[in-house]
Amino acid sequence: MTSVVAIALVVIASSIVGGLSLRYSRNTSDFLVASRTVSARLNAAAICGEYLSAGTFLGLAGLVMVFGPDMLWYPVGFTAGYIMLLVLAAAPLRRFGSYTLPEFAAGRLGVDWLRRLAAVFVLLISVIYLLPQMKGAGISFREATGAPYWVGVAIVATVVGGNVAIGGMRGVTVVQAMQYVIKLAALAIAAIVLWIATSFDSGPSVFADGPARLQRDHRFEFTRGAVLRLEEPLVVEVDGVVDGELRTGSVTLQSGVHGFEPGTVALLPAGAPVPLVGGGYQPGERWREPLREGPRRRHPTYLTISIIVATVFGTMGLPHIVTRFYTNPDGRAARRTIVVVVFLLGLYYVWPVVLGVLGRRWAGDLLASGGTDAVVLMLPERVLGKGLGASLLTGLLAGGAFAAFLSTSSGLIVAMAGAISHDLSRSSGGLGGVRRFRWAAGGSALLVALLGLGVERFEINVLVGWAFAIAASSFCPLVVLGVWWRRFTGVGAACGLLIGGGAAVAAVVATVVGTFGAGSWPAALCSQPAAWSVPLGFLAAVGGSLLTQATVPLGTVALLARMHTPEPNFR
Amino acid sequence: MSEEPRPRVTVAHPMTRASRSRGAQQSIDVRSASGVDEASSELALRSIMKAQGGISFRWFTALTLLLTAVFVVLKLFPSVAMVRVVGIPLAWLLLGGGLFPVFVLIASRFVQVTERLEQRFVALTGSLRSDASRPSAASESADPFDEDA
Repeated sequence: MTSVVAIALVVIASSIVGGLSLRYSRNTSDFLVASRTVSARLNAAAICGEYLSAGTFLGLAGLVMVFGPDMLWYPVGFTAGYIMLLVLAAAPLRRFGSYTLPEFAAGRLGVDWLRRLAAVFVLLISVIYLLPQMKGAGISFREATGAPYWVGVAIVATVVGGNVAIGGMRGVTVVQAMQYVIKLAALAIAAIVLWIATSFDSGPSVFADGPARLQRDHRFEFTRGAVLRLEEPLVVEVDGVVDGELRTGSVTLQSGVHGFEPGTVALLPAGAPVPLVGGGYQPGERWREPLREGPRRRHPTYLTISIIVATVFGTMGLPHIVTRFYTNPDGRAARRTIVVVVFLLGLYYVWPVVLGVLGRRWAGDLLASGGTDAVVLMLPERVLGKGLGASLLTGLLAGGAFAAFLSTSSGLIVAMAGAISHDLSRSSGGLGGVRRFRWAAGGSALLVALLGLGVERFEINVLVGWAFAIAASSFCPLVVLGVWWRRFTGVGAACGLLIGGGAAVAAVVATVVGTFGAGSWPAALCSQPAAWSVPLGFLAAVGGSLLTQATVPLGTVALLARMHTPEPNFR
Repeated sequence: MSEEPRPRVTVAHPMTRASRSRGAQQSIDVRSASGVDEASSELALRSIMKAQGGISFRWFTALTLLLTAVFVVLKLFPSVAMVRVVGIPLAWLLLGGGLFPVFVLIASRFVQVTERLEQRFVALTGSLRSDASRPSAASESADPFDEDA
């Protein structure tokens, strides 16, 4: 009940603050970049509010409890990605003075068709990034109320589509800054309270050796075959086939490996190791150590390197993040904003990790059921037991989670609507532009909601990782070369987008379709493509440019000079 | 430091082709406002680009080396990664929180360095400006580099 109230509060507050700004949003500039009047600190909070999505609010804790310390590279990479943006591109991009990545591409390289090609990638990345937000909304609302999956998806899509269509960027800036505070407070309070409660508990240390163990008796209904590895004999209640024999009632299992057939029901006592379910998660005996192989995790070194590359280079290629930087008044403010952003991100990322670690200690059964994306929302009740305290904390977390879905989705819908209304269609701005933006925002929200209904089986952070990998392979070469290389050409940029970005997209499609056998090298290369697709994107962009040197735009030197020179009013 | 009002720079509506060319004029504004002849301003611009590039490359390398070093230590020395500091394994402590203050330091130091460079650039063009007797060119002049103009 408290969860419903909290979610309602967040949704209503977001709508009201967004709605209040309606009267300030008059022209296209207001809609897209808040007319560039946003202060560095407010902007930094808004950037964080927008950046910290379902992926880090829910997904990160879930991944940490399954795969251990390798997953900590996600927040490290997300933060380092901002430093890369700062060091390589922030001020020059801002000084260039266009609104969106497609516009930067076309303006910098002097070819108009590049704008439409880039807009296609903006849409692609935005959609892939929006899907996990929809999944997060669906499972959170179900967790909080028991309502079907689609209800949460519908709520978030409606609120975001409406908010963006009404208020545009000006509206969402204040809302997103507020949403950062809500998210930080929710995670930090929950993590601190639950950590203290855990330290009073007499059970094993959170970093104890051995497999994850059940915190209390748990009844498993195995829909797929399961394996239980025992170090000492264990008495279990079963109904079904165990080790090839039909058994009912109390059974003593000796130490060793035992198999449960699909359809078997088993009641395992508290303290028992979590069984490994076919296709489910690997409970992982050496979970706390970095770079360990497991049945569900082959080639951990390659996968981790690829995650680092994707997150570190993907941030500067995310369309909603780069748009956000144009709300700074000048290049210097853009840089200072990033310093604050890096600080605010560091402040935030500690807490999902704490919750993930606690999740393994208190909710090990999720490793078998596969519902780890919801662990953050389940923890208060697991640790504190049913009661007012747990209910308040769950409400706080549910509210924070919705803040995460709303803010990230808003930024992405702004990016999508901007790409559709300004980059894909020939536009002359003005009132017609605003109307077109509104329609595009509504349409994007509807499309994403429909697609979001179909992604329940994907892990949140895996989807987020794909968005980063595609952004890193397509837009990162475009931005870096566009800012620094005077021999860059439009054809080169197109080669980078199509070959680098295209390869990353193809790899993701191959993974979704399941082209390669699980655990094989090709499957690993496709599931995390960034380690090879980002260099490929750079090579293609450089190669394509060198082959078309005759088409280097005439104004290149002047453009580069403007990007690297302090603004006229610089003090 | 300016003895005459500088031409105002319009933040133009950027949705049109015209705006792109106007954006390019902003760079002309920098030059004409500084009142320096083409050749020496071109030289100043090239030098600041080179200096900015040098700083960016150095800090890019530093960040890459830091991340690589952490990864290599975790990969090659698992026993070091599992050393417990205040009860938490080092790998967890480092990746889960320890790197973030370093990131803030890196970011703020980079901003300091690059802002100092830009201040020197502004001071330089300012002093060139007071040496030059020539009045500043009209800011509306066509940009020779811009194809849209």
